[in-house]
Amino acid sequence: MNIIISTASFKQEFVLDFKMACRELSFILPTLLFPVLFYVFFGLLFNDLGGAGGGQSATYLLVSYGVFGVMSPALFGFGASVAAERDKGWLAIKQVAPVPASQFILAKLLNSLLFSLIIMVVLFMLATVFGGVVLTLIQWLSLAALLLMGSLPFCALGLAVGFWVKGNAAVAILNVIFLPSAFLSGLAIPVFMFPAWLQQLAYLLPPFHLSQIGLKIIEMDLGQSLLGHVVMLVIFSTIFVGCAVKGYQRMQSH
Amino acid sequence: MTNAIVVDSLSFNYTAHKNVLEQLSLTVKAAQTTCLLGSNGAGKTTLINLMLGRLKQQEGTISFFCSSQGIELIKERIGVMMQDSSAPERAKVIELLTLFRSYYPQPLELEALIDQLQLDDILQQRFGQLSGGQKQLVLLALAICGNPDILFLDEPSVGMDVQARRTLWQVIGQYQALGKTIILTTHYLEEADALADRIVVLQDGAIAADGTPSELKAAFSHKIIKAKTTKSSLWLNQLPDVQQVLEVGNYMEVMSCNVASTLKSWLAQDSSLDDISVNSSDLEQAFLQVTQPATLEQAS
Amino acid sequence: MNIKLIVGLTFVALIAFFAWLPTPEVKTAQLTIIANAEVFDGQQWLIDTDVVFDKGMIIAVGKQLSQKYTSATVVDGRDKFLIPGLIDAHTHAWGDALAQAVQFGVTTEMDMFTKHAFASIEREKRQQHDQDIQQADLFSAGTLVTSPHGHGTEYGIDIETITSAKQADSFVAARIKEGSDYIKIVYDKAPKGQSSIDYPTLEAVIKAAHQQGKLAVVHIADDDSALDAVHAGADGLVHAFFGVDSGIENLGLAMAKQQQFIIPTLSVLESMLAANNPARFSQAVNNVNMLAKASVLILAGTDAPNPGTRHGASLHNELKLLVKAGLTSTQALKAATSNVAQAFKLPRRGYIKLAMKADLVLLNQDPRLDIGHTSDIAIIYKNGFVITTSSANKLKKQLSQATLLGDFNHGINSSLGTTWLATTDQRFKGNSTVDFKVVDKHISISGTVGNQFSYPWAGIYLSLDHRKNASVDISLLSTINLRVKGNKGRFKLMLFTLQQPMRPIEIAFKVTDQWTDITLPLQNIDHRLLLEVTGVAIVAAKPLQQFQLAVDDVWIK
Repeated sequence: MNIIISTASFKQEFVLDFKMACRELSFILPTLLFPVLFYVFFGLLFNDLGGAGGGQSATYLLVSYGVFGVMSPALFGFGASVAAERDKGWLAIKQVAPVPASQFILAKLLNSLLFSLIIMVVLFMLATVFGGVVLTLIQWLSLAALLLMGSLPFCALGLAVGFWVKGNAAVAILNVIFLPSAFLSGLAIPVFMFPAWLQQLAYLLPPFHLSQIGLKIIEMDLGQSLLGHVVMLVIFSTIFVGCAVKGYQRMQSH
Repeated sequence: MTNAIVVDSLSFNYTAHKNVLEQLSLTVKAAQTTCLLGSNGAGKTTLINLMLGRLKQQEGTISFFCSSQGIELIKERIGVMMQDSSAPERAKVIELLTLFRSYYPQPLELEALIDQLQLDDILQQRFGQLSGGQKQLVLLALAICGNPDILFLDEPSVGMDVQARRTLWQVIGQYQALGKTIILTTHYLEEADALADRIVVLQDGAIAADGTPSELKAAFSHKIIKAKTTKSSLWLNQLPDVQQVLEVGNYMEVMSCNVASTLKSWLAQDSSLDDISVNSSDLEQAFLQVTQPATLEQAS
Repeated sequence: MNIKLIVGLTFVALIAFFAWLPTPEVKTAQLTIIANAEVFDGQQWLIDTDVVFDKGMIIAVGKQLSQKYTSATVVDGRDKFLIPGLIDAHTHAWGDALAQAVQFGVTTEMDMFTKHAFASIEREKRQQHDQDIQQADLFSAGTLVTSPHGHGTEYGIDIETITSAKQADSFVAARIKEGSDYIKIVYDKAPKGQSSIDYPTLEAVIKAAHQQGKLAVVHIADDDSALDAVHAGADGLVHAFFGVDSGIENLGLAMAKQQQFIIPTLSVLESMLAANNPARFSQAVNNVNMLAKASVLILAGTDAPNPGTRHGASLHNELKLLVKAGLTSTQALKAATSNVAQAFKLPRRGYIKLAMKADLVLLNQDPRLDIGHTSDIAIIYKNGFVITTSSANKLKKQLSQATLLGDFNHGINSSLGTTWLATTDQRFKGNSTVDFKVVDKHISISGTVGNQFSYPWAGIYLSLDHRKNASVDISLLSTINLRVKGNKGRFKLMLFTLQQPMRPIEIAFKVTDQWTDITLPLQNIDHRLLLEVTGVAIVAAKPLQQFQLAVDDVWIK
């Protein structure tokens, strides 16, 4: 079976999805503005007051808010939106239409990546223009690739929640997952400033591992092994994908 | 006449102890409008979802167009309008139509589609801004935009105003004229009566009655004599041509296939007879008759 | 719109974006060929020779190499002269000394006493052969070996000292543990002011150094101490010595025979003695001449940054002095390159040969014609990277030759492009007044020195640079000369320095009613203060005095 029907059809799917996301202010504002505002406040403004070593924290927080930034479209733009469409029966209509699920899932995924990309570009621009962040081209590209790839586990998580929980409840649950896990993963305040027991908790959170890989790229990580972080993210992704598949199957027999 | 859908010995359960469908076999003829009737829980939505492949088959087979083709392979040839579904609120009508047309290899012309469903005025509106009836029409448009050979309409007229319902009926009429196969479920018996070539009544996961609307009406073409009497229902049952007796409050309702002979005999033997009225039966009552087994058993 | 177009544009925009993102200037040492230069390889001159280097190392020296290394960046060396990066064999390095040095083509410094912590940090960098470090490599003695209160203890650095020969082994071991590349010993046979270690200790320390695999070099000042050090087996002497002992020639022969070297450091001796004790200075020069004749290995060292010397710049002056002492220009070049490498067994330095570091200096003019041409530098390479002239260096002018500050034959401008101005204490609410005019090819100043400001003055002032707050380094110069006449009495020359903004340097001079030539020495002034001089003033400074002063021919030399 084909993944998409045709490029023309996929374009329709993708463009409509993008337009709908843009029309939803309650999605677009927090998703685009929060990471950018947080970065401006904590990465750039405070930074200037901080004086010496300023460039350091602008670079460090670029990774933090980059991770924060790609989580939001993945969880809400992708996961919660699938939940909402399932709730309204739109998913059911598409299921019986001659369109493979892969087409509209892929369109949504690409949209989530597109939003991640937009956030990333804005953050990178702010970082370079106002934060004086300077990285090698390899570092810039790896960071960009990591952030895009790194949003996939969160897409899977969003999807899993979307398939198991009804629309509004899904958004609520994703919010409960999103903010605390971002905070406890050290995106706002570096993990090493936490008390020891809280640091342990961070190891159980995917954003922690993603941000550590990002910080490794700019040589500001805690020095744990890259493989360890990757393995953890793969394990999380597998669990999330598994849950999503189970949820989908469950929908088919109820 | 070819068979559009052949359902053979289909059984299905959600939980182990109770089957929703029980060895159900049904052949949907092509170019016919088949109406599924049945009370809630009778299994018609389950049957439709199984046909559409939204539920996994457990026992039995469903085949389309005289082949063992499953639903996946002929999705391009079906159109579905589902119960309780809606499109995303932030999508414009035109965008939805364009998207869905792109799913089919030979979709209807956009102009024709818009004309047929009279969607001109609402094309640029977002789905969320439409009235209930307009929404249903848009969903109907999505169902027929691929010019399907089989059209599933699950409770299509729910929430429609008179105008929208007229449009719906027109579309169905046009489709019938084109020789398309339509599977319809509805609450409105008037609608089934008016649109269906064939009515299949489901009850407890099995077919309770199956025929054209007139056949069904003929099968149940009795009149009801309603009157006050002191006689018991057992006594009334012995009267000539009586099919069924119901006790409704102070009244007895006697269903007869020959009012004249029944009344003649009744009047002759019952001096307490009073306040007599005679009503003719309709499909709705026929429907009630087959789907209320408890009353029947009690009566017989 | 066409989807391919949109996707295409997005990709182009993304590529442009990533290309726009700032990246650190990662300079990779490119494969480079300096073609057709006349090359001094550390021992001899090679005409029309190509030198190829890559990743900080010389990979080929020969003819017509550009045909073989087609991908190399070609630097045209035609009519130019390529010499190895210079090595200053005697310095004291701290702060930005190494960065300063490389600006003048000095790519390696041999330090003769600094804080061992500093040396440890900088020593690491000399291993980075392919990095763009923009500074000279450092070899260092670290802590020197001296007696309590001996020479070396007066600089405020708390150092270990040695009192007896018995401590030699452990003392040397401690230095090696600190990282010392060689052992430097201070020895004075007949100490007057400061104390010194005794001969047995000297001998024991040299022996200990040799046993532990290090060179031992000795700081001496006089001929007797030099004799002792040579006798004790020192590998080298780090200064020229005074004295006119007839035994000098024997000393030279002995040193040559035992392959002991000397680092005369004539630069620092010149700045200390040339003006006030020329005879003593010429003793030292003569002794160097004698040693050279005896074929003693002579190394160029400056003792920078002692008064009158600067990292890097002074090595060019040292080469001139060595030529003055009788060396040929090529011998002088060897003294600053291969001789040092040979004497200190330096790896990969001092020669232009295969597998040497790409530390190179390309000169515009032939140093064999005039050794002064070593400072006419086209390009400096350190580890194969071009040394960029530091902005600080550009802003800081250095005066290295006699400069006319005013002859008043054609107005009141100096040859630096600046103009003489009136100056008084009025900006500190004083009541001094002054007026000046050019009369008869000199400048005539009249005024009164008031009494309202505690330190009154009135006179004329000249900026040394037309840019505000820009300063000029005059530390290589030794005197200010001027002709004066006027009221009998004492006047003052003031030098304004950024090093000490609130307190100008003051030098008093006497004036009579006849024209008098006056030479004001700068040697006694703290060297540091002369690094950043902004201006000079000639003033009357005694209160309540009407004064007349005529000034002419102001030079700084």
